[in-house]
Amino acid sequence: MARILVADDDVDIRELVEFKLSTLGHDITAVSDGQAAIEACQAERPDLAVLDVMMPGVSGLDAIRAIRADPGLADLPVILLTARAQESDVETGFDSGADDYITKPFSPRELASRVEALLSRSQ
Amino acid sequence: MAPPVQSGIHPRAPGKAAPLTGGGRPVARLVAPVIFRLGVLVGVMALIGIIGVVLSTRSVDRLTDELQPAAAANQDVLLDLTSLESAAGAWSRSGVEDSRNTYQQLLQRLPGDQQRVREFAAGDAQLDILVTKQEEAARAWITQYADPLVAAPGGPGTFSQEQFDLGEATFETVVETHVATQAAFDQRIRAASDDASWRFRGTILAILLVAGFAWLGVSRARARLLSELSAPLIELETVVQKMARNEPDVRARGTGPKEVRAVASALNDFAEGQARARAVEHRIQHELRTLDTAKDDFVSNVSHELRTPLTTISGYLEMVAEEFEDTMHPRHERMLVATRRNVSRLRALIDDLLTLSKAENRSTDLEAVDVSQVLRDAVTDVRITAAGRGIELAVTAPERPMPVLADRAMLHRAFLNVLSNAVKFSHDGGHVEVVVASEAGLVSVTITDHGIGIPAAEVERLGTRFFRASNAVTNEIAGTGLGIRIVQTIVDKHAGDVRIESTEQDGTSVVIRLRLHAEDPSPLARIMELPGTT
Repeated sequence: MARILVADDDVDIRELVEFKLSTLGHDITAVSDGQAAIEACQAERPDLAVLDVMMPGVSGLDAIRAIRADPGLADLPVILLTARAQESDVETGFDSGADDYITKPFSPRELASRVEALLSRSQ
Repeated sequence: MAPPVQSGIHPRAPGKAAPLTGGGRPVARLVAPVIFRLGVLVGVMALIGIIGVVLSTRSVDRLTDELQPAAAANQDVLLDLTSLESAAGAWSRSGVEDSRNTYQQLLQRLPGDQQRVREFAAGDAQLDILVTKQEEAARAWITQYADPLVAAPGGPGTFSQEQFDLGEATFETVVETHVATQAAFDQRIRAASDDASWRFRGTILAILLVAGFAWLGVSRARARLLSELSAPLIELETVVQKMARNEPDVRARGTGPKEVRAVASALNDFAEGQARARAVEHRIQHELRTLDTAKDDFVSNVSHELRTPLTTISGYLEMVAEEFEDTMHPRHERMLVATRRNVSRLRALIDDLLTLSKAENRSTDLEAVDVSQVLRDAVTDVRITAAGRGIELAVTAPERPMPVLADRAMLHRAFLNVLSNAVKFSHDGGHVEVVVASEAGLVSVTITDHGIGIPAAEVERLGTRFFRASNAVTNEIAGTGLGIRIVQTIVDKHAGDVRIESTEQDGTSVVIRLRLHAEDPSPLARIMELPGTT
């Protein structure tokens, strides 16, 4: 049982992730943009965040940088979701401080296993 | 819009090329005065030599032809007189007629000898006086003593002390005048000898002096030629080297002789042409990059837009399958499997389209990579799939590295596509051979399977977008029809070629050939390489 923040501007993806992770018994907070994700992280201090890279306004990468700048959130495990499959984008994702990176279209099962792996590592 | 690219030989653009001062003396006119001066000096040396030799010869000739015979004649005169005295003395003492005859004969000879001396002395006032005195003394001795003695009867008892004394005294005068004359001759011989010697030395000295001047002149001419001919050439060489290193805005100054200026001007024209071509190339490249970026952005956006709904569809399908795993009606399960298969196909299509789009862009991440290594990585990627169907993969590659200039990820993708096809179209339990070889600056990768092959009529159409071999479709082997197209595009971008040979029911062999990465081209090759030709 962990508290997980999910941020994606696409309502269907957001609900898919929310739905899959909640079946595993986690407590999910879902937001639709980067700014809301930063605020939710600062307010709720979740155990893990799943962020979409391409969101209007503050992107997932910008959100990670903002989250990492907060000393209390420096160790927050973050998984990035993206439609880009280019190696350079993966590198940018890790450079900005992501712990894992999953490419759309992804399998919910794979996402779940990565979330579990990161949670068990951070505990 | 950009002005049309100028091609071919163009006239020198006035005002644009580096301003050359024009003119300049031709090399011939630079060298000719030097050669002329050298010629004059050699001529002067020869002239001095000839004059010196002529003068010395003349001096020696005067010595041997005139002075020495005259001196000898003068000695003859003394000899004649001495003999006359002996003959006269003998007559006086003995009265033998022979003595008187001898005297008369000698007296006949004396004027001849005297004449020879006189002839020589004619042009010499001092010698003339001496010779005249000598002749007067001889005449005095002959008229006052010798002739009267010989005219008188000779023999014992005829001796006259008075006459003898007169003879002694007058002959004394003869000898004295002769000594003086002979001394004058000797002095003249010495002077003539010295004269010849000095003329010879003078000639040598003059030649040496002229040679010295010639040497000075040559040194100065050499220094001048060096600064006027050699220095501009060396400067030109430096400029060419800079141009070869592609240093911008390097122009030849155009100093020195006409020919060097002409070369400098041609070089500047060439550099101007290069610079213009480079500018056009840069602009085109910039425009191409802008277009590429726009296309990349478009493909990226489209793929994002397509993938997002695909994620939802495939995600929920997966969850439905999981949730109803054991309770689903077989009919529904078949429907679900077909749906999921087609979602996978859609996903593969989007991936391949994105890859093809990237491959069609200009490769920018070129680096020297080892073909064998990239190939082995690709083989590793398909090994699990191959092992699942009992297909064996055998790689034969030389130990030494096979470097090619390539985009590593793209090359990996090309090999991966061919290997995936080889495995996909192999029969279960089959085998795939991978061979790397090199010859004549090329490296070839041959991937051979023994699978279903391609109908002969369709081999030509491979590589057409979305074309799939009929037997692949019949055998329900999944594919997008973009794999070979992607391979061809990537290999084309690497200046290589792809050859496909196939026999239906027998298998397919794909050969990819790439250029081995050589050392940097020479500066000359680089300067001759016009922009746009590569």
